[in-house]
Amino acid sequence: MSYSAEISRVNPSCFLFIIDQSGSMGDQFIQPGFEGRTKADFLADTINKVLTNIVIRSTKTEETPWDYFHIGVLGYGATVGPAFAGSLSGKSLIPVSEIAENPARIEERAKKVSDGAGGLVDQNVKFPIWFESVANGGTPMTQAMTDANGILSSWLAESEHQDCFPPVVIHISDGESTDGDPSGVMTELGNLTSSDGNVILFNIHVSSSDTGSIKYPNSSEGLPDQYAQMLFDTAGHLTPFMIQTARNEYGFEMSDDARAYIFNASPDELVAGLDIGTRPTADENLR
Amino acid sequence: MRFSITHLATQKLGNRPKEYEDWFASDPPEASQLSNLYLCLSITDGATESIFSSLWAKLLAEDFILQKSTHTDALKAIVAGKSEAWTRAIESKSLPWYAEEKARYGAFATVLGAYFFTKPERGRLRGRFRAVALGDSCLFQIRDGKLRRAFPIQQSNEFDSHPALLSTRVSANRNVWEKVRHNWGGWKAGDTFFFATDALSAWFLQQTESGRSPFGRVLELLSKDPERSRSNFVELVQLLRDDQELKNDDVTCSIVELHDV
Repeated sequence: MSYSAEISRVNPSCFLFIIDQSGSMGDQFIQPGFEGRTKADFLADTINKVLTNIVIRSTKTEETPWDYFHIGVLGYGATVGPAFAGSLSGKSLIPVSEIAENPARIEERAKKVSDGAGGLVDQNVKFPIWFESVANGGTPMTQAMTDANGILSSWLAESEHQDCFPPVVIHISDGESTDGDPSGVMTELGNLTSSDGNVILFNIHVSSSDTGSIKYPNSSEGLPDQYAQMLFDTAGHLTPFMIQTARNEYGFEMSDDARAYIFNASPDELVAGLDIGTRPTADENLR
Repeated sequence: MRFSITHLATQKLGNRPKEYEDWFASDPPEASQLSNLYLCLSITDGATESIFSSLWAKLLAEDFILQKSTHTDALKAIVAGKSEAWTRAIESKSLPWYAEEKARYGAFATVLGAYFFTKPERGRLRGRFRAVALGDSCLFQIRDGKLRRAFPIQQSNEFDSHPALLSTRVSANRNVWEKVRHNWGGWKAGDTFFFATDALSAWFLQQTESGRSPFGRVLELLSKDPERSRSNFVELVQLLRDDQELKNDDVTCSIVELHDV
């Protein structure tokens, strides 16, 4: 049965984020509650929170977190390349422990938490930063996907990764490629495999307008254009646990063969998609 | 009462011994052919998703045998007192940012405890016990080689990945108390009780449902030398994991052989 491998320190899995850093990501959201925030700023905050959550999930004691996952962030805009900041700059796929020990900086931010009596109080929490907001240049999606292919092929070829729980690639973009048709190389990316199944390419198209989204479809019916079609065609299928999370925790309706795909995602749907995409299996299976 | 207690344990495959997150405790401690007026025993299973779970499991197991009560109110008092102890222990450490943030979520564990005693009834001493459980660690009573009682889970298909858990955080325990289960009954000379965390408990029930004798198989591992018993147990667990009969998890099994009232 696919997507059933145990994730452990001796059999880690992998997340690769591919992030559009083109000039249009500097546009502001108009959705209520997010007005004034640029897509790039919001995405940077969200990616940093997702990385924090992965580190915390991998933390068992005060010792360095367990390397359940290797993680990479690839940015594409004026340049294409690994997008970690600080001492991790230039590194493509690194274990969770190294990410935990090397944020570029740590901010303190207020977070609303339960007071145990039904109310909420502000609590200062540490907010590590590994990824900075960038919005500059074109959309060299084809180059980014080619680089991602190279990174993941090499990682999967290593003997200790060949039986891994298949990597999840989360691609976030707000527009079409400016360096040719990336569909071929995106299909190749989704055809990479471990013994436990195919790499899952999760395409999230973000929108700063309020035009309504198409979430986790199982067919291309109703997609507005060829670009949306291309993102659907190259998207992988959600794992059963991803579907369970999406249905039970977010109330999203979808079929059992839903694709890892959102078109015109709102900010909330982007956050939900990143949560769903980075929990491909239950945390009880992190051994 | 005259009885023998054996504690057997091994960590998850791939983990180091210090990463074992179950805990066991008994009063009196492990020994053979003991005479005592009572036996109190507990096993706890720290949740793998939470931090400092083994500390929480240890605090709960050890305080249960100090309190020696199976009432829900006693369990509430244990949790209140020991969650403060857990918090003090964590706050005394200088933690990296990720451990500090993880500690805010608290630690979680299942609990199973039992108290064995004798009671005069109709001119004779009778063996009695009381037990309390929250979660999926189980107690099994064996008489004449047959399973007489399984508590709190009776069938192997009842195990899932979301057992009820006791937390170090008050807010996380609000709805958990209604899931506490109690059991009580009698025992006779010759009875054996097994206390096991979930992976082994599920195996015990699956094997029994298939007509096999898993409890006898484990009893055959016991030797006069406790270290020999433990190494036999580790070998059996490894074999069961290799055959994919046993989930890869920390495994704890405490065995009480009741020789005489």
